[in-house]
Amino acid sequence: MLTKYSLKFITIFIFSLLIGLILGNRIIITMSLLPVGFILVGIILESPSDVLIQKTWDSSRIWVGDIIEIKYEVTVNKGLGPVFLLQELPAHFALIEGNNFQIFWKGWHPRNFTFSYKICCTKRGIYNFLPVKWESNQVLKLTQPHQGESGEPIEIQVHPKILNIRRVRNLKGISSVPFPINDMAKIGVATTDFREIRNYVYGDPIKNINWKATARSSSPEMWPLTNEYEVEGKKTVWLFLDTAGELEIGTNINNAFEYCIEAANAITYYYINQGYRVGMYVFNGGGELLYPDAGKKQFLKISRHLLGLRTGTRNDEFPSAIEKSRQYILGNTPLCVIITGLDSKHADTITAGVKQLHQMIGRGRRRLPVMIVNIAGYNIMPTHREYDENACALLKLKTRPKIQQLRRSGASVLDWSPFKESFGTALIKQMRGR
Amino acid sequence: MRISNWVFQTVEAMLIGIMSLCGTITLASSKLFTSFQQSVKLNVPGVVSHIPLIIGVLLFIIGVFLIMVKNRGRGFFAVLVVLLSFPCILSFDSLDLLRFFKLDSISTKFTTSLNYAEMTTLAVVIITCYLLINFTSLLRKSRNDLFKQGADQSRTDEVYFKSHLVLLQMIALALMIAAFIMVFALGIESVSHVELARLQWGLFFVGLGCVLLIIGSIYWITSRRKTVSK
Repeated sequence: MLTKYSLKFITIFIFSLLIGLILGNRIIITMSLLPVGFILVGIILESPSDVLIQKTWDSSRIWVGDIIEIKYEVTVNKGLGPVFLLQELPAHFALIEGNNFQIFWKGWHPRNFTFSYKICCTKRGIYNFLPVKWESNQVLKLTQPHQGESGEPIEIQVHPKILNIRRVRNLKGISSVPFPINDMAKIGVATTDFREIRNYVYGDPIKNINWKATARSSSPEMWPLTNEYEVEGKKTVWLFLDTAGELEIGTNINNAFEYCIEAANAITYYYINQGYRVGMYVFNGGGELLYPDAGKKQFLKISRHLLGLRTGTRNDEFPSAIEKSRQYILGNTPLCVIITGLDSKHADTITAGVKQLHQMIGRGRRRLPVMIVNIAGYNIMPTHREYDENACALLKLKTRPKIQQLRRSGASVLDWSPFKESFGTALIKQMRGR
Repeated sequence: MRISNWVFQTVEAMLIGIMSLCGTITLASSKLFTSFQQSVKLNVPGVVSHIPLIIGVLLFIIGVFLIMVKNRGRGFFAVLVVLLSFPCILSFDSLDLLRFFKLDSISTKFTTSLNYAEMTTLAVVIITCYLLINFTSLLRKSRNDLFKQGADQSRTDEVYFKSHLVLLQMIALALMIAAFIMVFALGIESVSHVELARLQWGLFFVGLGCVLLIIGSIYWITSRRKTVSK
């Protein structure tokens, strides 16, 4: 198919040739033959086609902030002229090195061409890398360009960062979070690990009676003693993750919501690694529940779920989230971790929810352990002026009574400013010196 | 490889200069211009010898302004140059249509001091320069567009350097094709001289044959490509 340039030259040629013929002028005829000769040569020179593109990269697990190098091997077999390649990058990918838009010259012979670029994944999510778009032009654009796509689309998962949470071994103190590392579940399938010998109670299996120990017992009443074994698994951790739209304070990449997700991922990773069962309820975004389970599979399940999370528009859902998780809370008596931002106008629902949780099980020291991770949104936005800093301070002061109220009600509040300190540091701050 | 923008601009300026020069030479060698000069001489005697220079410079300025500054009007500039050359070109008509329409007074004005070979060379140079300017500007524009899109400069320049080489090769081939057709047509004319000499429109038939041949070949090539792409 000819372009408008070619048609322009053909028109010039026909017009001037007709004039030349009518006047019988050889010079005009010669002048008109030049454009047509040019077009003829141009049409014979075909634009490059038969483009094959192979994409390679390190396909291992990708985390937020990772820099990945993508390499391309391009083969063009036919034609002559420039070839343009474009790999559209999904949103939230930053080009670090190289170029995703390439141009190269295809000569008379088939040509192999390689290029690469480095990109940084700035936000968690599931991204689609579409096939590479190519376009080849006839050298002087006398014919329409060839266009196409080559290579397979690739889906990549960018996982949220796992924040550094470590056990502090050499620092003596009391954790304000009432959930020791070796706390075991009371119910569950018994293992072969011996725990203790105790008096027989009705319902204990006969095979667990330790006859030798019963015989040696000096007790006047002959009451059987039974072996008690450790049960499988540890206690349950129940995450309540807030996905309210108000949490999107900051940029598209760095905002409180993203830090909430990172915190949720880190907590899940930590407790799953310790052998706990972890369940999750996502509130303020329609309500999604993930059943509590242990093991790496559960971590992957939660992590994958976190990848696709978006903020919701609903609010005031926390009390109903507790109601929906009621049967799991009553059945497992879990450590409830609420990840939210207390500087929004809906923070009161969190306070109400914590009260509801405390009323649900236990009294006094035996009540349900609750930990609130408060992501302070006011520190995420960069401050440019003195007024901005003052506004941050005011917001912090405004949030403080809510935090104090929650602490008074027995919940442990972890106040985390992502730009000021790491998650691990914020956790250590929770510990009181002995 | 990196090519600065001024290289393209210098080449374009040179081509505009050559076209302006050719246009001025052809105009200055026409009888029409000589009679115009004589009429000016009577009114403003001092300026006469500078008129071709003034026209040439004016033409060059128009060309630079249109093509290099405004980045359009390449066709208009070429038409302007061809129009200046027209009095000379028309003097090589086989069929004197002006005389045919009883316009003898005007017909005598369309003569030139240049011979056929000189005039053909100048005409070919004008058309060649026009083709070069047209495609150099086109390539320069697409090169700048690519830079705006973030293409690598050295690689883009390499592509456009090679594109210019192909452009030169294509023009050389086009010249050869044009020369071949002309020689072929003249050969036919001389072979069938006896038969065609009887016809005043001999050249017309030869030209018509050439036109049909060229149009046919363009149609054949494009239709074949369409079938292949389908």
